[in-house]
Amino acid sequence: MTTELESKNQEEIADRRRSQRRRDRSHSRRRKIYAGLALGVMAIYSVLTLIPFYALAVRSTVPTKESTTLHFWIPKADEVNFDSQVGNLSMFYNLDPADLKEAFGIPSTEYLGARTSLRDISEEYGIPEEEIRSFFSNFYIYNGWRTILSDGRFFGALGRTLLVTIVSLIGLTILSVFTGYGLAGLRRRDQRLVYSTYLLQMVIPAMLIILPQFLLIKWFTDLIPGFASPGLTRVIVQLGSIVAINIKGTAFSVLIFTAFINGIPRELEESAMIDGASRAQYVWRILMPLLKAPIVALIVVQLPLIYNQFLEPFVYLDRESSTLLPYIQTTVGQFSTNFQVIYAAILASIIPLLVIYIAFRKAFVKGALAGAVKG
Amino acid sequence: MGEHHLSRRKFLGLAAVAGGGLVAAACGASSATTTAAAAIGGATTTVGGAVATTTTPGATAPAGEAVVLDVMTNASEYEGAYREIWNFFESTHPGIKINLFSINEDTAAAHNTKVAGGYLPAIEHNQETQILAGASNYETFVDLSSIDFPWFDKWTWDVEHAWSKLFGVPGPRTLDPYQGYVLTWQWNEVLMQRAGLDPQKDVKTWDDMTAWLTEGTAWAKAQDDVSFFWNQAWHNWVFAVHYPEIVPMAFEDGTRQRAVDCWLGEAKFNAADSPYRHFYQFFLDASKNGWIPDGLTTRQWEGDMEASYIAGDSVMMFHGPWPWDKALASGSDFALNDMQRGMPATPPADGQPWMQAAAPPAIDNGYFIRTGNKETPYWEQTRTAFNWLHSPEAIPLRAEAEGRLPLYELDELPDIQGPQFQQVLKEIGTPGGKWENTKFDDSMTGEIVAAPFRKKGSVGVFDWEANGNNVVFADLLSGAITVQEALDINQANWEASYDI
Repeated sequence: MTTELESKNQEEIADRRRSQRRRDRSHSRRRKIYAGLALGVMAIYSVLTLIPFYALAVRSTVPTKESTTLHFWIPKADEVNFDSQVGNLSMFYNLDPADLKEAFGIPSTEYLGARTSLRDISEEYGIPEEEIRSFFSNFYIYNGWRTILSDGRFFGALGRTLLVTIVSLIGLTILSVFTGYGLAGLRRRDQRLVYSTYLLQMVIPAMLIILPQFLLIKWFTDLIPGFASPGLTRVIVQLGSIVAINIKGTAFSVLIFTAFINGIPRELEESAMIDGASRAQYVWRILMPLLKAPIVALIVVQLPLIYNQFLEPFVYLDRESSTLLPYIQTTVGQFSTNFQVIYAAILASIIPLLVIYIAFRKAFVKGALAGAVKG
Repeated sequence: MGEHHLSRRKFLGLAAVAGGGLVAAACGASSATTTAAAAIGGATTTVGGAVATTTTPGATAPAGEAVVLDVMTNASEYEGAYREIWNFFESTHPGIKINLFSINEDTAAAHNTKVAGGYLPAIEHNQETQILAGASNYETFVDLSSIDFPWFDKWTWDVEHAWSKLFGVPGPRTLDPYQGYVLTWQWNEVLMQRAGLDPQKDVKTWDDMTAWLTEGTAWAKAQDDVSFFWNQAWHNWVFAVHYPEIVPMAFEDGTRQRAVDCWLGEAKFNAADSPYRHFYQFFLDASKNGWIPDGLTTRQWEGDMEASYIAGDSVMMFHGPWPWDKALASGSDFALNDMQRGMPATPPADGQPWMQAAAPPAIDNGYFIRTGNKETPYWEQTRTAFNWLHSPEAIPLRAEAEGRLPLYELDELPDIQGPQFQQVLKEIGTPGGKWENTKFDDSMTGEIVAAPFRKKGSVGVFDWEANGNNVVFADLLSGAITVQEALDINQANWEASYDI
């Protein structure tokens, strides 16, 4: 009897174990399916995210005359047409006729009329057609990229843009923290007026104040020795002007930091003081670590705005010391229907920003989640 | 908190004092710094006085080095050609280098702001800055009658005095050597032949033209590889300065003189026989009949219209000289194979002679020198470059580059190879030409004649500078307003804007 009972129990246990194993296997299968599905969704999402960049890259090689045709890959290029006229070619290929003359050994004092065709040039100056064809082969497909990248101004503009962006973000963050810290302590109604006045900036369009702001800053910059003549001083001061505009207290940054600092109990500051901390120590050791989330929020929002700044750099900077967007605009602006240049320029301006976001993604996520786990 | 700590109140107080100090320093600095004469938005806003001594870096050069002048190109479409023209100038003027640059509609406002802040290009162009010379801003521009300009007598019309007579102040302030812009029909002949249409032969009257548009539209709709027969997009300037002056010419009561009467207050824009009624009615009909694409007022001039034409995706446009060359520059097969054609804009509706409207010779729009340049160390070089640009040596090169007819006496008429000129303009009024009985009307438009009477800051008749005509057109085409109501708006605008 006992043996039967034991045997029955063992069977039940075995059944239960089998059933458990089945459930485990089934659960494991379900988890794998869910994981696979999640992976699939993420893969599709990633591909969908990348499609516009791919399309942009392909479009940067598609000439305007084929712009209404859908292209999935870089199209085969037509060779340069020998009936093409110098004036039109130099416009479309951003080509100085002086360079053309130099390449073919035509004296620089010769005038190449706008309607002179390549065939005319070949015949008049005895230049083999193959040589002309070879010269223009560089332009066919990568005309857009060549226009943007050929003279090195793109990289100079990119460098200045990164410099202005980084310095501006650091300055903006520091000043915003201190402005927010100052304004967060204002409690009385008249004091709140100061805060509200700051926020009023939100309703003033940048376009509206661009001229008076420019004149105001110019009054100061004209005082700086060496600013009036070309050189390093002028470039630094001009770039500094852009930084100054970017780091001035914006309504958005003040709103973020004032609101956040207001939410930090005053007792924290008081206990730090009781423990002998100076105000600077309080800000650096206690306040700043708590502000990771708003700092990241500020950077995430301001980074593309400063990086993509057009109006102020266009107005404040000399053409030779331009930042990226004004450079691209002035380069693309001549060729308003040259889609190769337009798409190449768009992609070229986006890539550095993407690299920044990808390189610092961990920092962004870490910063953004810093406040989420605080009790 | 210790005694040495800074309270928030003190921090803010100090910040306010520092800010006040900086502003005070700025006010002190303003009298010592240089000033610039500049005008923005077509008004007389001058900044910091009338004399400019702020120089462009690069424009002042150490002794022995070439002076570099910033020179704006006329129409960015021709920057490449102008670069070669200035290359030629540099080869004959070794002491002067030209830094050629172009702006367009998108960057004009930013450029003007930059100029207002002290940037001083040597030579600019009104059409690009979008600020015409008038009585309210004339001090911004150098009086060209005062700079020993040697070529006034070369113009085939009185360029020296026309502007002054109109505005009553010394001038001229700008120079343009060409016949005014002409907008015509232009098409891709390969597609037109596919459609089985021959407008140059078949269109003789306004009714012929509307029949042609109907037939062509029906053909295009049946094609998979053609999106539009007549591709039309929005351009505030064209829909105010050009089309309204062109379309009425098809009709007996649409002469330019009748249009001028409206601008001078001698007739009303909203009268039953207003010439401008034809302009609105034509585009309303075009929309209702499906001749033009839907959503006209939101379609981009270059991205939606010109690019489509260049790509062979639409058959034709109603346009000026530029896209003929753009199609060539883009390497469009039909353009390179000389398969672009066109015809005058407005075949007659009422049995009168066929007229082709042309913009009048530009008296307030052309190359100019900003006043501040007279005070710069490179004034002589600026004057030299400006004079050369309008010399008998340069005009043929410019005419060739832009494909436009110069109204300028030359020993030899340049062989203008611009495709619009070759295909249409040279055939107009020429014995044996395709349109030998067609006549140009390039008399002064109402807007120019009435310009001296326009109130400062007013919207003008069409409110085009602020794109206000876009709203009127959108309302008209959507049926929100009638043609009469659109004309009423124009009349009300005129009454508010002109003091005659």
